[in-house]
Amino acid sequence: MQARKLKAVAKKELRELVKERLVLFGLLLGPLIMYVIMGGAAAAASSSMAKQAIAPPRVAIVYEAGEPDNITLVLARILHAPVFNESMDPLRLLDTGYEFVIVINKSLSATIASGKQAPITVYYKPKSLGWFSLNRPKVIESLVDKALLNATAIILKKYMPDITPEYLQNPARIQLYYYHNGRTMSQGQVVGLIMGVSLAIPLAILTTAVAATQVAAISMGVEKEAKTLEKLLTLPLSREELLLGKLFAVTVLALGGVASYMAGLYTYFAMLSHSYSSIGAGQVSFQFTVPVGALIVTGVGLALTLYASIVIGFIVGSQAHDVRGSQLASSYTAMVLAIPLFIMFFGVDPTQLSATAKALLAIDPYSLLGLASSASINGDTGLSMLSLLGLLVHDAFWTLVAARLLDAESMIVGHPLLRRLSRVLAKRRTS
Amino acid sequence: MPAPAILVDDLHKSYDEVRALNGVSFQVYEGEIYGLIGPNGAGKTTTLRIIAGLLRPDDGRVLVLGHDPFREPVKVKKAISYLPEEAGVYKNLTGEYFLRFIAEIYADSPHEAEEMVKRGAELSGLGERLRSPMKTYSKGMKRRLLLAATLMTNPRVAILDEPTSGLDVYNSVLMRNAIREYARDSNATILLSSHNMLEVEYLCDRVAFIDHGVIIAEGTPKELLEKYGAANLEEAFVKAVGGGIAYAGSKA
Repeated sequence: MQARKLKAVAKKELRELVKERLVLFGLLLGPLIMYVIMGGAAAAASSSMAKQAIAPPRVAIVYEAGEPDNITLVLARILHAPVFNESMDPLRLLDTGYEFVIVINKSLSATIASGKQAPITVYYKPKSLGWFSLNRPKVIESLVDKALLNATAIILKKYMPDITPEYLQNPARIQLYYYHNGRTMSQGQVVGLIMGVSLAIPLAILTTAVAATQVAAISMGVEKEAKTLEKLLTLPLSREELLLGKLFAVTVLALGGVASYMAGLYTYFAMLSHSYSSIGAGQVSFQFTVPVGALIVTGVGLALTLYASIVIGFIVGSQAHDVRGSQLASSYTAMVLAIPLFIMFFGVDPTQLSATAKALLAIDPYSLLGLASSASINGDTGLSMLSLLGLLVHDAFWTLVAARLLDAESMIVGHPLLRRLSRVLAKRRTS
Repeated sequence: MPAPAILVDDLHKSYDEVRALNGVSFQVYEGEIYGLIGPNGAGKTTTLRIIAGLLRPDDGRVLVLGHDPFREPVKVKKAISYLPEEAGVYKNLTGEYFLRFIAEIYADSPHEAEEMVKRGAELSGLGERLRSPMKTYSKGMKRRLLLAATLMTNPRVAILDEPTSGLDVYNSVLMRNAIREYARDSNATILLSSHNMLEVEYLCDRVAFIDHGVIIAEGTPKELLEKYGAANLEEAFVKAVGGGIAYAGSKA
């Protein structure tokens, strides 16, 4: 094998693929643009929803028993609401521009004084009907609760002079610590870890492996569509030089694709985070607190998976007729391989699965990497090493399959098995 | 008689149920231009692909300069250069880059690669257009560039599958002249297939007629004309293939 020839093939491959619009847009620019647009849209939507959520409601109170009592006045002060007497129709008030109308009957004070739940009728006129309108009444509920707690505190003060409204709202202040892998963590750190396990790592695996499979398949599809494969196969290159040259180029592009996905994703979260903080709804934390050991296992596993993914891509692409065929076939292949990862997105920890389920996961290189990462995050070194070993077996297996399938004849006229299959299918269609 | 540069012995090849070659045998000697003539589906491309090491024969033997293309693939590939019938180009690369890519694969040093690129640029006759992406080339330009890439590496054996197929008269003449000049200057062995009898008559030292996967006649153009009492190779071919078609175009 000669490095000079490898370099020539890799350079040629990169130049041709990078200028291929399908690759350039689908892999490098697409994710970036998509996530920025999504981020902008999500930020705008969340910002407008959050603004609505924290916007002060316009409230009116109708008191049904003549002069308003003390509790009603406390409520009116907290809600900045005018108080009307029973002659006022609450629905008419809604039509004049109030968002909420609270109707208080004369037994309210007596009910609160007896320590029972007080029935209060609230009329709500949403500005427009949408999912948001279902959440909006929570604003008034919390304000009414707050007002009534204050009122209760006033009553209780007679018997417990030191009581505070805060005590009534939250009598216990709990400080919660998580204990995991021999260390205590705050809830924020646990959230970060869960985000890492169920979002960042599966996403990195998914984008890298899917991108690699697709670019490898497209690289073969381009050769077939442009009818350059036959000439390429007669050049004085060993099969290893040809495939490794392509592998280098595909790896560079796949990593470029991953960088683009990650940059897009980062932008997405940054925009979302900014939109929350700009309206004063609090900074949203998206820090992934994955341990260094787990990152190393993930990195090694990712390299092993990348190899298997590219070889799978070459095999799939070599049996397609053109670029579109190879893209379609590789998309389906990647989708099937990625199904277990989607399950991880929903927070299923693969290390907690049964031995049978783990053995089934081992059939799929993407999942095996997920298992290796999760095991190392959970401190199960044995399982993570076993998974990495499994990935090595995958690489060896796919190399053997490639050696059988990626010979010149099968690339030019198709593998005999696939030819037989398509003949059978064609016969069935005709009959 | 010199040693054969290409030895093809009793080749058999089937694609599933279709028999493409049924015992093809011939020899091409060093410095010779040898033409393989036959109708579509006769087995020309399959024969050339087997010689180039792209397809494995079901039975039979091929030797190129004494080497088996399947046991010593890189040795054979280094000595040959193959122009496939429907060869395409990398649409996003320039013609110059393509020549450089091929040269870097064949050459043993950067200097040798540079020499090859120069020779390729000259052979293609594309001048400044070599710097444009190949997607902007006409069919004739692409074919001339591919022939230049095939011959610039100075192969000892050039295998050309229908080199002028689908080209206009002007481009066909340019291609034929380039092949002839290369053969004369380098004393290389050239094996070509063609439908064009005039082209074969003009270029080839010896010719074989192939039909249904077997060689039905072989010899110099003159010998074949005499054998079939024909005025030109086209007539000789029709007579050799038979099948009830009279040469003058009338139905038998």
